[in-house]
Amino acid sequence: MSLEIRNISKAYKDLEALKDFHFKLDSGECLALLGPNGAGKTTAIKALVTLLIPDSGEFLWNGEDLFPKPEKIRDLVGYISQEIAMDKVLTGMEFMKLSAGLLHLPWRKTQPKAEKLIEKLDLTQAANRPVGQYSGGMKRRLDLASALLHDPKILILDEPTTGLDIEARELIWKLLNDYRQEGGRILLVSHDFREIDALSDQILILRKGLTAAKGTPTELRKGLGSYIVRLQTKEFMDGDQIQKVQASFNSWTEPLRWLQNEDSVIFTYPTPIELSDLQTKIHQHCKANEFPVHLLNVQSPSLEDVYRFAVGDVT
Amino acid sequence: MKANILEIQALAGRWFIHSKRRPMVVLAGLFQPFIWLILFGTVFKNSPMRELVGASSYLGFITPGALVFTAFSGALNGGVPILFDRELGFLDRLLVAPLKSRFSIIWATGLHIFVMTLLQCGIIVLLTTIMGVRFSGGFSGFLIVLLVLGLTTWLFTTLSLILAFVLRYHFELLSIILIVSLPLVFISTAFAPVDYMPTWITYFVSMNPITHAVEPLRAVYQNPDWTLKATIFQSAFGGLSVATCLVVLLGLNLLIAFGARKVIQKRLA
Repeated sequence: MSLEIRNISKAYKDLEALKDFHFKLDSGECLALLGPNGAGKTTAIKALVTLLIPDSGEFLWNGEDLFPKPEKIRDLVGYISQEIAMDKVLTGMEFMKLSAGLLHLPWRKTQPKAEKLIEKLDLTQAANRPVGQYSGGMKRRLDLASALLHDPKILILDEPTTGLDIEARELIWKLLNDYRQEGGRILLVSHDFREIDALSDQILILRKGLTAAKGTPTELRKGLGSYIVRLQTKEFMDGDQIQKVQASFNSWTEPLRWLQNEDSVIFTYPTPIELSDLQTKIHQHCKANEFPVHLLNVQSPSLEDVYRFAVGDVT
Repeated sequence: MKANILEIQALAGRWFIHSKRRPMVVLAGLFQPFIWLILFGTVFKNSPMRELVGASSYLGFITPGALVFTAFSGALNGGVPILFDRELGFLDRLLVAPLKSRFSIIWATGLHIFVMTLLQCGIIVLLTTIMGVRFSGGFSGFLIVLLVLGLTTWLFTTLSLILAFVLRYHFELLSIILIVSLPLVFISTAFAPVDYMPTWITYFVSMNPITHAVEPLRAVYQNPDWTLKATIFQSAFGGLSVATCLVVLLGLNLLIAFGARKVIQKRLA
């Protein structure tokens, strides 16, 4: 069974919130969806969970477009929204019972599964307490338990571990990895690069409604070259100083990519080279151009760098 | 069909748990009709009004009014929890669930309000019976009471739900409830006979759905020989019978349901 999202677009009057959003997700895969505020993530998620109707696009499940049959999408998808919207009056178990009813699962048959999920997410002690007495982390875990109640084929998670402590995060990551191993697909919106690293096979970065970068974490890191260099000639460089230093590197033959930054010079170095050799090369360049080196940081590209180069102003 | 029942059961079950955990909300719904029954019943005990309305006591006269008021105010507040659900994002949770019909959210709310209204009205009937008010309508009269309370509940629940989907914040809905509820009750025959009102008000009274709910209840409450067709109330537009009142209430229900369908469908789409 395959999921393919094809060319979803949505505009609000003159604002194109999302354009040609597309991805494929196979069984057991996790796609991380990233982007700054206003990039189109919420629009994409809302379209995928049928909370809004896109202007165009297809939700292909085994080749069949399900957008004209939103109830089928709702059957396939388990969703956790960014805001923890829970009924504070119900107890944890009553909340699970409500979720079962909304999924048309008879409670007598579903109760053992609900109890198992509650146990897996370490909520057994609190199951009969009103949700209003739960901490934020407990609510998130209960939210996840209810989203998994009907064995959804696709889980859409909007920042599922925000505000959680490390233990709770790892508990959720473990459960999500178990879900993937059982063949589930995850679309994860997150700003936590540790989480993205721990869970995702693919990354899609949105910027101003468009796909700015897409690929596996390794591909995206490789795409940035061998190293990311951050250089400061003084603690707070101004625009003129940055431009001057940047211009001095025009003599280099390698195609450098520059990230516009407020207080430092940041660029990618594409060619394979020893780290110490590159550091020496930069020091020599600065000396020749009479720039003091206040800070020099050279490292292999991280996912955070991938994100910053994808959403930042790059030249 | 089974799926529809399961989802309505789950959604209504949620509201019943709310009522069970927060009995103050149920009690508060009883408080105002009680105050009116006791206060008005005492203050106007020796009023000559009772000679005009044919009731055995003023308390007997206002008991149907108190029942309708209970159904009306409970129903008019029915949209408030939905609006809170919208504000807090809980409605989105319901909308992403694979409901067979998103109108189950509406049915469940209406069902809960109707059951709570019956419970509250049962308590009022018990209290007024202890205070000496007798129900004369028999079993068929009892069915009329249920029908009228049901139509009143659905009418104002639907109205409240429309507002809950049209307005953005709960305080807007609460303001409208506050503005609408008292005039609608007082410009009706719930607590005073129409003969005591200035002529220009009688036109509003005659158009008011509360009047059309109170009058048939009063007829079956007070008159053991009530019939569907006998005139029970002389409105500004002519005589009304139990049957015409029921037809008016049913017509208003259909009209508002028709109007609500598009509004709610659009919001729930």
